[in-house]
Amino acid sequence: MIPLDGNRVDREHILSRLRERIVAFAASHLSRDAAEDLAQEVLLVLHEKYPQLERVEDLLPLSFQIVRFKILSTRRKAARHGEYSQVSVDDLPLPDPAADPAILAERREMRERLVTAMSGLGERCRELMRLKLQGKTFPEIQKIMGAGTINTVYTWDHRCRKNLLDAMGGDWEAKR
Amino acid sequence: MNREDIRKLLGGYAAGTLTAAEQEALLAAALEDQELFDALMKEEALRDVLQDPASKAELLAALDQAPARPAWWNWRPLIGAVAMAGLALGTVAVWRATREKPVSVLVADSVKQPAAASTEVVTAPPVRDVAIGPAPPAKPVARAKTRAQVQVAPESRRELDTAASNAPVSKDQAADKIMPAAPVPAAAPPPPPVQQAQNQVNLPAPMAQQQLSQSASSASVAAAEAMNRNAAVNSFRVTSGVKEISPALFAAKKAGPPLQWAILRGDRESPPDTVLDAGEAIRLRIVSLGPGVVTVSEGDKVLASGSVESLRPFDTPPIPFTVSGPRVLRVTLTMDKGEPIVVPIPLMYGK
Repeated sequence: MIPLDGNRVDREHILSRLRERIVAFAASHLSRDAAEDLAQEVLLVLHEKYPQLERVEDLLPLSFQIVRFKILSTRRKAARHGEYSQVSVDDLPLPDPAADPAILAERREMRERLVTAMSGLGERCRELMRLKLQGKTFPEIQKIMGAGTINTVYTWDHRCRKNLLDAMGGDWEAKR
Repeated sequence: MNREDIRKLLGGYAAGTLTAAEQEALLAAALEDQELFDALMKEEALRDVLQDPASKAELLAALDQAPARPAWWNWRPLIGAVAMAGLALGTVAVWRATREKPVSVLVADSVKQPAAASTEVVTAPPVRDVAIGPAPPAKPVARAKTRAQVQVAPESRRELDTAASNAPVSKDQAADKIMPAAPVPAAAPPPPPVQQAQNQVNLPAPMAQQQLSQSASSASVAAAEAMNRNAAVNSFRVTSGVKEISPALFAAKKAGPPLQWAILRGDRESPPDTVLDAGEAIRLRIVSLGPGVVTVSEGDKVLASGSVESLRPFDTPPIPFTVSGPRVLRVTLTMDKGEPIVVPIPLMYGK
């Protein structure tokens, strides 16, 4: 019982902190009210669909994904002029096993930009990126590339990520 | 891990390659740090692509291809050529800046002298071939007179030019004409014993050979004492930068005796043992290691005279010779200190 209660307390604490972070992040992209609504919707999904998740390393990645989809959906709805009076598909959660066409299109576009940006990287960054795409962890990369310490690999990856981000215009997603 | 180190894990988060400990540290920090949280939110798009197997395979294929080169890479041959050209230009510039500057050449021109001035005879002090050891300084009278002649040179030069334009004779012929026709009394005492042996001990072979030839002819150097300076009537002018001495020859002259000479056939220097053509007019190029007055004479005749500067070539006017066979000229260098130095110049004219 104690561990269960302890986990529940931790989950409540994590969700509380998570709500603050989501509101602050969304407020920089949406209005304050929309940001509050967005955070509430995310927590609702976590509460209803993922009650078994207790750890921060499970809850945060999931919440990031939900927030991203919600923001994209909100932007698309705002772009659809004249359709505000219609019922949103988000309000009618019909099951669809296929991926969202909009998400697929955005993923394809970003993939093309990544390919272009990666071709301009230096040899070390290309090798580092190759190893990461192969699923190698940083300690494994350290051994393969012969780095002295793990911090050296962290620094290499940090610089390569910055170079890649600069080559893509400072943002992973294309600006619209 | 501090905050900066944790931020370095961002790249691993998107690729999904963080270890459990790294991911826990990163996400726990993001829950307390809004900037890190925002950064992780921005990574979500990349993470979405990198978690897609098809996208991952396409990116891996792109990484295996040759990296894209910047536009300037196609111009690398031209860039290399320009770099090499620049290097060559730099080398030439450095070489030109560091090489020895051209040495101006003193050229003596014979000028016509009034007939009345050819009667004075100056007796020079006894001379030796090479000044060795302390010796009384030479009389300054002769040098003073010679310098006086030098100062008259421009006027005399104009007279020569005028005479040359009026008469259809060449400059060589004019120089020949001004040689003193009358014999000059030469009452020279015999020269002191030659003391060159000590001086030749460590000389290089060619230089020792030249010095040996000088000592062999030094028995008759007393004739220079009786030179007729009025009859010399020579002047000289400086032609700055017109003629250059090759560095090798110049270096050889630096290492030689106080006075060095070479035969000039036209503008080319010839070795001392060159057999000249009968009747060929030559000039002599004389280089002295110290400043002084140089006089070129043959027997009693003074063929040319003028002041020389240290290491600055002095060219005589053309010296004609109408018959074949050996001929000995003498070059006398009178310096401010020490005895005059006489160098015999043996010439051989063929048939």
